[in-house]
Amino acid sequence: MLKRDFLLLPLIAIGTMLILIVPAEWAFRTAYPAVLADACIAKTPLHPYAHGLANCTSYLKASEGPWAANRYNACGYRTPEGCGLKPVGSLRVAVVGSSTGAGYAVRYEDTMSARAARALSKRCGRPVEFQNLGVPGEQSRKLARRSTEALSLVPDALLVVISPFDFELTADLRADDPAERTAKKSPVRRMKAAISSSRMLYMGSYFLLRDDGSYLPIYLRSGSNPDFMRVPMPPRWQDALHAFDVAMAKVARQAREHGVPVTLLFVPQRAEAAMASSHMHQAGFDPQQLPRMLRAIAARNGVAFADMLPEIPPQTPSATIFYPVNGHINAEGHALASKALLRRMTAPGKFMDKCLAPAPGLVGR
Amino acid sequence: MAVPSISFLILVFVAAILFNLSSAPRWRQFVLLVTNVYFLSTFVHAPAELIPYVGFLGLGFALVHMVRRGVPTIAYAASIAVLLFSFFWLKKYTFLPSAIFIGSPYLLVGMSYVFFRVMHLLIDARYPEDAYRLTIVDYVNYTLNFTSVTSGPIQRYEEYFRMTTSEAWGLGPLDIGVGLERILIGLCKIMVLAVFVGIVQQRLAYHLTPDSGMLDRVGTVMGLTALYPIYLYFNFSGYTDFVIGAGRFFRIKLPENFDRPFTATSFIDYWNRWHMSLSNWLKSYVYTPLVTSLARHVRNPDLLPYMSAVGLFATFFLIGAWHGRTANFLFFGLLNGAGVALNQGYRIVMMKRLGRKGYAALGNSGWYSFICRGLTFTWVAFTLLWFWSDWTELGRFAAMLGPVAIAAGWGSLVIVAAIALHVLMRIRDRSLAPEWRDRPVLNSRYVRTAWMSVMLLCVLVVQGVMDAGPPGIVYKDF
Repeated sequence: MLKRDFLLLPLIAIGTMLILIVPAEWAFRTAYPAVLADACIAKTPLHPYAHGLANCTSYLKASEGPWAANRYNACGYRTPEGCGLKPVGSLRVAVVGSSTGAGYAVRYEDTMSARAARALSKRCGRPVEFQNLGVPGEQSRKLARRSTEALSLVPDALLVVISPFDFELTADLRADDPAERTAKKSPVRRMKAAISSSRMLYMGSYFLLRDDGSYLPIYLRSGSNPDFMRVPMPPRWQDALHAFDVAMAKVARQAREHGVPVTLLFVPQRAEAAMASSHMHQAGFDPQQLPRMLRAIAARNGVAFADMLPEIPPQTPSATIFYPVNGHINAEGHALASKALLRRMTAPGKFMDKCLAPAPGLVGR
Repeated sequence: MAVPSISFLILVFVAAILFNLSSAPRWRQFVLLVTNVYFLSTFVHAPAELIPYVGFLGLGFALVHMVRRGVPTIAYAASIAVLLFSFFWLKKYTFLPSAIFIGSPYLLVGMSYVFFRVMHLLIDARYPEDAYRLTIVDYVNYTLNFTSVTSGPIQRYEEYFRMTTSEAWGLGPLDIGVGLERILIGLCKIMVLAVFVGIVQQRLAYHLTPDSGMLDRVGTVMGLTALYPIYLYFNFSGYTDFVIGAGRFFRIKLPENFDRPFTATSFIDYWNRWHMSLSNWLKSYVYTPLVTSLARHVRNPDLLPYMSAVGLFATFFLIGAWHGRTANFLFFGLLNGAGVALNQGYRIVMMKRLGRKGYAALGNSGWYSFICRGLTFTWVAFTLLWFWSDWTELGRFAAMLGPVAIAAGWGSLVIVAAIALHVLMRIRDRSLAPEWRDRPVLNSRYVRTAWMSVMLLCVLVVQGVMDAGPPGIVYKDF
């Protein structure tokens, strides 16, 4: 080995990597732009928790999806209609939930709220508006507080949208796991996080894992991620469901006091949807486990339950209804979610009584 | 601690730095001992889980020293039997009554490979004049060598002893570069190539439905059959590359385990190129003594050549059965044994018909090698069906695919494999042809450094994409 090799070889190594990484990363960022954080969601003195900013417009895009405009009304809800007094003769549904309920990275007209509003307006023969209080990153433990705000809108129905992500977002769930606390601090995890912000990696995941045959085995092997489907359900998830049960009980009680019927809509995670709609069954995992337990929670609290899973046609590739890497449902997924919601909301009950009854007088805040 | 993993690499580099701080043999033995024991301890949750493992090692050490001091043949045979029984008992082989097994959890990682090392010491202990020094530290460091305890390769003690004493490898900048290169090659094979091949095979199985067309089904037969041996090769040879590279930093040359196995033109040749340290061990300690013993008892000289076929059947049946305790692996063993025995029988018949020179000329002819390569690969892939699947799943596949698609798939696989292997061999030969200063350009350290960077990038990208941890090494479970 020559003396110059001690300089030359490291330069060759670094140079090769730069030559490969830089153009590739630039090309992927140009071809697949993304804006993931909603600039219209912030904490304010009025709302010390994450909330939409009044009369704000932002634009979001998942790398693998289209641009979506988020327009927030005067109350900071992602809704085209105003949030003041309900127009005479109209019906109002208040939606609470996280990014799924908010319609993250989906154009408003394609969201489950907009679709359901259009369908119900036709069914009821009068305007039905959906005031969407959904906030990306919302934690299920804030459910009661958000529901109080929703009920102040004097809605005719309250919709709670829940997905497995929302349980994962619960700070208690992650913070209580010592392995997770240690892992978060580990330099390896930090390095992985830095590397995984690469657009090249992101789109590599998209192309490699959009097929369920590739995605499912890898996801089911990814540590604690699929625990909500694991049979028997691990204690941490059982505790999270118990906490949710307590939160739903509060929401149901509040809603009952206001005479507002509540519907809990379950939107599955991508692997859950893939397993439920395919012939592939993995021993030790049950995609119906979480919705089954949520249905029981809903029944215990006198709340109607809507499940998106049965609406997914058999053999539907999950990449057609989810953003494969981002994980949220896309426009087609929202169509199925609204189908499940409508099936429940148009069943006989308080809301349909109002829907089919003559228009009431002026009510609202 | 998984092999490979970032934590294992950190352990290698920290231990290697300490190891090379001094050239004193006692210091180096001490560092190895601490590293080996620490590595093993990362697999247990409580110290009690180590007791059976330590007991097995202690038993082995005591038996080896007892035999070295000289014992009657019956005691020698009994000590081998005791060690064998202890191994079968700890591994919970199903032919033993389950009531005698230990109920609580205990460590079993690398037990098979430790067993081969201890057994080799015990068998060779009969010839103390050939024996090298074996202190307790030598014994522990040899049997628990952390670079190769989980999945081999199986190194002979004499080689290990020479490596760690008089014939230790140098560790200059070039050696470090070669070691790093080998580690990267291993990581790339495990974390990139094996992953991709595994994904494709999983996709094929996932998308197979009873309504698939004939062409899809033929393609699925070919894919499901052929992809697993390729996956296994990348997974296991990648592990071997990785640990050989790691061993280099401790100046230890671990034996090679693979020599381009899919270029083999016969099943016997395949086993001379696949998991070589295991097949060499079994040839030395099972095949040779068995055939020698059989030859002594055969009166008809015409049958003598066929004793090698019997010996090969027994040896490779054991190789197959060693992989697992279930009926699937016994059947895998049967197929392997039958394959080599039939291959040997074919050789004997052909040599009788064509003579030695005629048979050698046939073997050297291009078209013959071309077809034999395809046939060998297809047979290997067929035997491995019972490696990654079971009768139930294979029955399900067979029902969905149908006999016509299966026959067409395997027939096509012979041709496609032959063509693909021929093309790959030509590409390899052509790529090594361009030379600079009398050496292949691709062998230059500058090109290899650039190539190492590409491999590292591929590993980082694919593992970043997978975000599911490194895939497990298949052979760690045996």
